Amino acid sequence: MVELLLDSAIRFWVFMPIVVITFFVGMLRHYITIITAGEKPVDKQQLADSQALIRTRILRENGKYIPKEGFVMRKHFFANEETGYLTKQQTRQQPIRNPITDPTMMTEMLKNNISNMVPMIVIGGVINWAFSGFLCTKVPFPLTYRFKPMLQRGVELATLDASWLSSVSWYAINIFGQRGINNLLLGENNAADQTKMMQDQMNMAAVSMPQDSSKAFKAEREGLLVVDHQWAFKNVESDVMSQRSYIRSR
Amino acid sequence: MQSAVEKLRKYRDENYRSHDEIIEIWTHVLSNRNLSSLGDEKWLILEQIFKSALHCSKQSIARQCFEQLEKKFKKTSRRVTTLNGMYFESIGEFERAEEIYSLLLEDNETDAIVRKRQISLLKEQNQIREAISQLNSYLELYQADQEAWSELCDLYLSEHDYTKAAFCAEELLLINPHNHLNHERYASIRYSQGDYEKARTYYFSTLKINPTNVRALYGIILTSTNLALKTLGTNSKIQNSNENNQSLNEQMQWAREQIMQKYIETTPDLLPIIESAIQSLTL
Repeated sequence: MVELLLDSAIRFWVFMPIVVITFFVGMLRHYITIITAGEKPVDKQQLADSQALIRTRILRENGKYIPKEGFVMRKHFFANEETGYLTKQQTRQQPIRNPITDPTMMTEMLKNNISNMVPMIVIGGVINWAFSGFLCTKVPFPLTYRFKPMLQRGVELATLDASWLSSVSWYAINIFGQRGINNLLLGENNAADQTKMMQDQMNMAAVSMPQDSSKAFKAEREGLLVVDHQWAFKNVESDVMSQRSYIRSR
Repeated sequence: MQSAVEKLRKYRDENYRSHDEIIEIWTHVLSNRNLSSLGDEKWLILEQIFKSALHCSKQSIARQCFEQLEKKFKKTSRRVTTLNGMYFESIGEFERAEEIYSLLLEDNETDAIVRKRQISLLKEQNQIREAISQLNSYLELYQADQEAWSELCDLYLSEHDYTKAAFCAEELLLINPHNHLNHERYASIRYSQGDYEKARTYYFSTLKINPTNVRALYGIILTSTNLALKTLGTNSKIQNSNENNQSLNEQMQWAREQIMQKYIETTPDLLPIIESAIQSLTL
């Protein structure tokens, strides 16, 4: 089979520009998110809820370390039939934030989407428009036929060896492969990473739902009701003394 | 210089309270060097030096750091503004500090750090009761804040409100049951209340976690003595109290020997003094 030769101009006008473009777009995205992302003030109610849940969980787990009166008192405070903290919270009306009617949520989502989706579509489009149809490099090992759609997007040649890499695929590889470089240059957890953003988008449905805290309170209350107080220090006197008496006799 | 920066980083990350040393590092090594080679860490270091300088009441150093920070971050940074409030606190201008903090809280009422500063501001001005009520409302929101419970416990103790202090100490035990100091504190509060049974139990639990806690050993001697005195006083069920007394005596002896043992191991010269001291504590 005749060896394929690439024009050396491809190296300078396709191969390198794609690397440079993806890199600078990553940088740009990083700084844009720094500018646009304001610190969101925490929702007061949500904060109180999560702290209360932490405290009841701690009470369930470590209740054995405090005297019985203290435990029963706290249990009563949290899980009492009528006036218990958890009982009250459980029946509290949950203000459901509707993403369509609530304008603040709308703008937040829009802001998110603009900074995430638009550059991706635009850059992808530009790359596709300007650089499609080139083969730009060759992986230095033979690959099976199955790799062709992955490595040769945009170049549909049935007889071409699978180890040739098309420009659009090179762009995709760059997006995924630049995480390491970005981490080096911009520090960990930077916003340049598109792959992370894609994961975020998949999770977005779950996040944007208002957490149903009344359910969590109900579960916590039931959990607390079944816990009985077993004092951990019932026989601690004799325990400690027997454990350490041998030190004296030594 | 490299080692100095690393040391500061360690102190910063692990919350060391060696402020004198931090200031020393600053005056001897870092203050007249160009810190911009450190990049963003420079600002963290300046903040750290600022706080330590306030601890050592070296206002001129604090001022110097703060000016650099203010120049960099302008007035928009909440963090730097908080530092400004702290500076006013340190020079005794409480009204201006309070003004800064309440302005900050207007923007974001869930800012835990600013609220804590406000409470400490009240404490500085010796308005303990207000500080207590503020801290209580803070804890309504941040129920699982260990620091706040500990602070509230101290405030109640300074007001001699042992029942409430005991409640806070219980809360600390729940949050961190493996810290022997929490156990010791709870036991001491119970002892002050006259609840010797619980005090003794928690002194023992302190020893279970940390066998070298001498204070707990003394606590056992004191509680056992008091309990023995109590049973002597009531004297109703003679059979029962005899048995009880025996175990109390045993515990007392045990704690005593443990203390002696410790002194023999470390400073044998002090032994006679300790012996007489313990003698005076017991019956």
